[in-house]
Amino acid sequence: MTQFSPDDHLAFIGKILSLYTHEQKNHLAIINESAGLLGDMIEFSETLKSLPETGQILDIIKSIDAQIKRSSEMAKALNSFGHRMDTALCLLSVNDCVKEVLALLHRALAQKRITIEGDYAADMAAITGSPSTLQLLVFKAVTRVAEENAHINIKTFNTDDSAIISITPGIPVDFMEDSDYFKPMRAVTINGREINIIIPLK
Amino acid sequence: MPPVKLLIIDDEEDYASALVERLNLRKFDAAAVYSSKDAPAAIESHRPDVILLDLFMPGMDAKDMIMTLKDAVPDVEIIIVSGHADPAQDVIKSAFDYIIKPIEIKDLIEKVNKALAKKKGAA
Repeated sequence: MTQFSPDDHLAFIGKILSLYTHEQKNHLAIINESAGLLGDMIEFSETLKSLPETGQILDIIKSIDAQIKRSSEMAKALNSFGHRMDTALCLLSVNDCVKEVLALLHRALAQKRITIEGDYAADMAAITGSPSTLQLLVFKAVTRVAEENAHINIKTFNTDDSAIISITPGIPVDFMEDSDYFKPMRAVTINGREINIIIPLK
Repeated sequence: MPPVKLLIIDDEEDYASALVERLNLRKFDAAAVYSSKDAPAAIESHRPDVILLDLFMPGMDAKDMIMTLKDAVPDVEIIIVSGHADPAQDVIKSAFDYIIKPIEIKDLIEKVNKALAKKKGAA
């Protein structure tokens, strides 16, 4: 049985930060080489057999532009991730919390060739709770699936008294049983193949 | 003297293709593959002196990949090029050197030349 502590929470935040900065360095590397190549085209112009064509130069500029957009999207996700922790409890969107963690985990999931399909209910009720604890739960549930080439389905929906995040395939939820750390949220395993994270609406 | 042959293994296509062009402008014979599964065929056809290997690619364990590359070309030198600032020490030690992205091309060439010097010294 795994008991959770603030150390687990810090490890989660550390993982998110290291994934983010690693990805940013990849984006910077592409911008660096693309800009360097443009510079080289001028520096080596006398030794080039033919001058670069306009189309080639435009392709390099488009590549730089694409990396800036990728970086900006990731920075936006990390920025909102950080802002959610400004207060321990707040009114939060379950869908946004889930999508944000998945965006920040993109690189780690791609490395294991894990694909994710989301089905997010448009009418999810806003709930008052701890966003980073909810995101830690989603992170644990998704990364513990961990098998290479897995395809994970995530669905959000409301019941009369709860907001539910359903993750298939699931994992045994022993990691949070008997733990007060996640209360009032809890998780159940259904038929051994699906995990439901249950967030009470009141 | 024939140009030094380099093989870049990196899933970021725009990065690898730009680096190939920059290295070739500097009289190297560089080529790139964008997935680990394409590496064996590229090694067979390109016969690189030095491999520039990204540490984290989809479906690839870096340490296993280094062992596979060294089995295929025992005298090749491998330089890890990655955005990871603190990789496992055993992975670093299994390669010739390590450089963190984004790179300065003169720093990369300096490491490549050191790798070549080691390769020649061992020959």
